[in-house]
Amino acid sequence: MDTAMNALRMGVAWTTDPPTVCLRIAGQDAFSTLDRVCPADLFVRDGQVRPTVLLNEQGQVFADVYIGQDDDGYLLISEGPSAETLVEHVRSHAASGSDLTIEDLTASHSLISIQGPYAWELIGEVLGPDLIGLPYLYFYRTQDILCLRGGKTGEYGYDLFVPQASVADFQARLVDRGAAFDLERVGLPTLEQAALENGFFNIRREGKHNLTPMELGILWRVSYRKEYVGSQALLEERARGPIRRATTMMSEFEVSEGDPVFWADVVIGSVLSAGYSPMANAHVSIAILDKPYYHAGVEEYTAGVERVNVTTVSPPVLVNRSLYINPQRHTYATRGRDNFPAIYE
Amino acid sequence: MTPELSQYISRREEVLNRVRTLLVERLHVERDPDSIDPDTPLFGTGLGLDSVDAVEMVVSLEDTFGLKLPDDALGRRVMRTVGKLVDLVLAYEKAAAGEGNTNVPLVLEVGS
Repeated sequence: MDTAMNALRMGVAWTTDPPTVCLRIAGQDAFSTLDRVCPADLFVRDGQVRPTVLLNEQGQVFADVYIGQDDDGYLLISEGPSAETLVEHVRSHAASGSDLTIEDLTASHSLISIQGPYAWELIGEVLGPDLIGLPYLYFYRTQDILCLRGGKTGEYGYDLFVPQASVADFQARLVDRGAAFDLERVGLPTLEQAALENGFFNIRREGKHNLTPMELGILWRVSYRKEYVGSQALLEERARGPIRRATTMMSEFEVSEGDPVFWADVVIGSVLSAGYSPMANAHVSIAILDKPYYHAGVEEYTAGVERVNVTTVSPPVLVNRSLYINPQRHTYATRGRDNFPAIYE
Repeated sequence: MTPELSQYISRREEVLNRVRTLLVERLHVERDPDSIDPDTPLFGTGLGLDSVDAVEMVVSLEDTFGLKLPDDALGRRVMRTVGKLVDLVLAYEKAAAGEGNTNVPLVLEVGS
């Protein structure tokens, strides 16, 4: 994984992971239906997406989504549930007799994701220079490809929905042009480790434990000022106040999902997700810790049966190279002449 | 819980709450303070701040906590999440008390 992570963190990587569903929802009742389903405000510019989640009636997160306005409709780009489950969820919350059309773009398109500090440069090579200026959390269509600038790695990231009829040709062109960037194909473990290092929510790891946005520390993705599926449960939880919260930890030695976390001999939580960071040469994990232990900067906890010393930290744990890359000044070919800060200290 | 850990957590919660209040009252973030989690991104996906807000945030931190942050405190390394700002304030206080390394995380590069 070190080679793969090195490409993602220092160059360019591509992948067909993670499993992602892209629905286009249109019709006169598209807004009202999505407003009922979506915990975030839907007011975004045309071509813009907003990161949010989908909740069940208990306020527990079951999907990690972007929602965006697309001319007269909306895009719902989701990780977690299958397309069938997602369509059923949306339809089940539509009013009777609603004017609603739902198109599953993933039935006709394949996802190709390009990630890394120089991903913008390769995107410019394969899709044209106009794409280099695409703002973060916007999408654009070109050559029948839907290109979303997003990503959950902390680096420049582009998710491309490519028509299946042309995906083989596109992949061949990507790999051909990517040779100049030492392009590496990476898999889901690399993406998930990158998300862990940068504090991006992962529906397949910490997100699989039936936790609420408050417990996951992602309240910024939801609103307390509108009604939606799960909103009543969130308001009741808010009135009670937080009792535990997902907290990032680092350790020299390995910890594993399910490991208990201790202060002295008191169990204060458990590990939700864990992995080794080759960039930091350390283990990074997320634990759900009880109040008041759930704060960063504490070095006095241990985890697992081996009682590995862990330190709670504020993510991101890396100083991402993409923070310092300016497409007007930098290129992959001349990177050796550039002076960037260390990716980890 | 040891008195030292209890004291640290209390101080961290106090700083966190004051940073949340700054974000709402001085940077006009349209959220209630209790809905701003420590790991909330300051820019882009999270609170949607911009570079002008970053300058205001530094001024606000200096006013509120009596800090004198170096100009390069605008560095992208620290201006990432609410929790990173809390880290910055606590590290500064620790350094000022002679307990910490003043180079971490106070020496910051200004990003491109």
